Amino acid sequence: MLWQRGGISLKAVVLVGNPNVGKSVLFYQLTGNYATVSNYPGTTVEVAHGQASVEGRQVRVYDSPGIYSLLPLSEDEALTKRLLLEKSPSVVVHVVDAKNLPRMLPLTLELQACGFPVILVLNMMDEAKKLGVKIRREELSSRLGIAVVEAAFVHGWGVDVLRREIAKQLNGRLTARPFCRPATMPEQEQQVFIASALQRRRAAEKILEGIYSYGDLRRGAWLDRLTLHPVLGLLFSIAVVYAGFYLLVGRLGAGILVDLFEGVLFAEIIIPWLTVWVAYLPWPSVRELLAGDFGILTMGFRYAFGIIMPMVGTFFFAFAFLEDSGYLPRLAYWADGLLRKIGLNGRAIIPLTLGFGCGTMAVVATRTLESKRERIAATFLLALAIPCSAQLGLLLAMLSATPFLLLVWCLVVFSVFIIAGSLLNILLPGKRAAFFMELPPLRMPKPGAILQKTLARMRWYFMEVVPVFIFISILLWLLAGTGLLGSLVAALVPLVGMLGLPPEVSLIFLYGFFRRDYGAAGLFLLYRSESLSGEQMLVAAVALTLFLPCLAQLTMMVRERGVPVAAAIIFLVTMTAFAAAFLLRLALALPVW
Amino acid sequence: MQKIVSLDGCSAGETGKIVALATGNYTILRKLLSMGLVPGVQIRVIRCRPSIVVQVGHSKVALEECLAAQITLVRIDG
Repeated sequence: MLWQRGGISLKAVVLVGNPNVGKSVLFYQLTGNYATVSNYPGTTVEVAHGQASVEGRQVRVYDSPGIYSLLPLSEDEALTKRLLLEKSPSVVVHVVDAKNLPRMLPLTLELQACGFPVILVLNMMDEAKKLGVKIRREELSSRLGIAVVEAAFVHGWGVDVLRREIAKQLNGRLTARPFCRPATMPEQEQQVFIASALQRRRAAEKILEGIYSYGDLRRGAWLDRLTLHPVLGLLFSIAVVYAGFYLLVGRLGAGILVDLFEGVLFAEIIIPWLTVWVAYLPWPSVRELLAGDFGILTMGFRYAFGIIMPMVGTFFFAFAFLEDSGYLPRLAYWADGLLRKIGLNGRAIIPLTLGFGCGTMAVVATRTLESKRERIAATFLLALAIPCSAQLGLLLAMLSATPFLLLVWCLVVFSVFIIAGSLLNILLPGKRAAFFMELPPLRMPKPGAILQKTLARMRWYFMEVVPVFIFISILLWLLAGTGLLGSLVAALVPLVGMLGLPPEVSLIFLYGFFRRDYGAAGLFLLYRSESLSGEQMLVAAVALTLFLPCLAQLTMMVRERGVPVAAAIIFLVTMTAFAAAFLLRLALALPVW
Repeated sequence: MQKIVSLDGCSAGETGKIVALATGNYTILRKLLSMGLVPGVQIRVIRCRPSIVVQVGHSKVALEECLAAQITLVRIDG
């Protein structure tokens, strides 16, 4: 038995496999709902781990990011390898899509060759059977010399058998001591790797000879065909974006739910109640800090929970749905046509779409892009022309009252996006990476899994955001108390004046620097008090959209891209935002209108 | 009749067997390998625009023309 400081160390079971083979579903079925999703030390890749009971024994299960081989191509893949090496697992469960066994079996062989105690799981047997795929499991098991389990985890099939096999493995063998290749290899070794990968592929084919048949390769669901149809597929992708982002996030999240949380819960119940209680406090400055104009409770918490939470929540829900349905790669496929023109590739649609939810998270997601050039371009565009859900929701609420304003705002922001992207494409050295992606089959997502993902991301978001909101409230309270706020605002007034906007707006721009959505929220309040004309609102909305990203996103930009690149981006973004807003103001003043 | 073509010259509905991967770029090569696009494998072209989509076994892979140009096939009729 292994004893360590602090109690018994549990034996580790690591789930590995290609992306989209059902690892996460298996993970939740093994661990129940007691999973912890956390960033792996030193990385921002999420790894879920939790305890599971197999035949009365407790084990620790890790759900690793999807990999194609043990020689990593991306940061996610590198992490899986680290996990395998550092946790010295007693069992490695290799989950494969039974339909695509010939393609996935080489990884089993690679894991075995590295000395890991492997159990092979043929998942999605239900789909495979429907397509006529035939696999002789016992024969496969004896040819490989390891346990092979058939499963369809979405229906809960095969989990019990797998538990028994894990238990057998735990009782039988000692923990293996694996060895692996280093992460970076000189060119000659690359050749060796490719040669050995081809060899493994041949070996896999040989193993499968006579015991695996593909079945019907031409059958596909109608939805599968529709989403790739030259015309309907494109329309479908537009409809998905419209329904997911405009209807769900814009209308439901930013409209109905914000009205409920901010308009009713905070404005009518919590704030009046707090004001009564805070009034008992004897110190006026503390009263200000808690419940004043920039109070932690009246501004920080109200913005974080009343305005931001409903929008970010609905966004994360929509995003999790898209992710789990397997549609995102198809969206990338369609977006590639547009993004190619600005030097990005379809893959960039994932961080860019995520940017419509939360820019901070999106900057992290630019890691999925292959080249530094693309990561810089995407970070720049995220900072400039992608409004986050909070900002977008509020701007939509303000502008959609006058469809013309909304149209002009969309056109201006979109043009800036395209022009800035094209310029970057010309200016940045290097070439864009070619688009290459697997298109997984579409599936109906499980509501439980989506909720779990949404909640996990919201938790992450609040851990990051609420402290920033409190910090900003305190900072503004300090600035206001010392009178510095007044001078800062006054310094901005001439610039704001050049855009034809009233002086109050400069305070909003200052908010906007702290958090984008803070600024939008301020503008929203100004709009409600009807102190801006339509044109002024349009100019302010454009400036605020293009203006600096929020403090949290800025921090992440510095962390991901380094100070020089982040500083250059900030400088360019500020200049572009001001120039675009100024030109718009001039254009609106033309006598043609 | 057998005919050797490059994947970017194929049209939707055609089937072929990969005979060579003509790229010296290891990253690309490894990506193709990871998707099962290896010599000896039979693939079917599903779409040509906006990028090429091929079916390999039961999975679908989208790839841009410049990558497809590196894949050489023997066309299989019928």
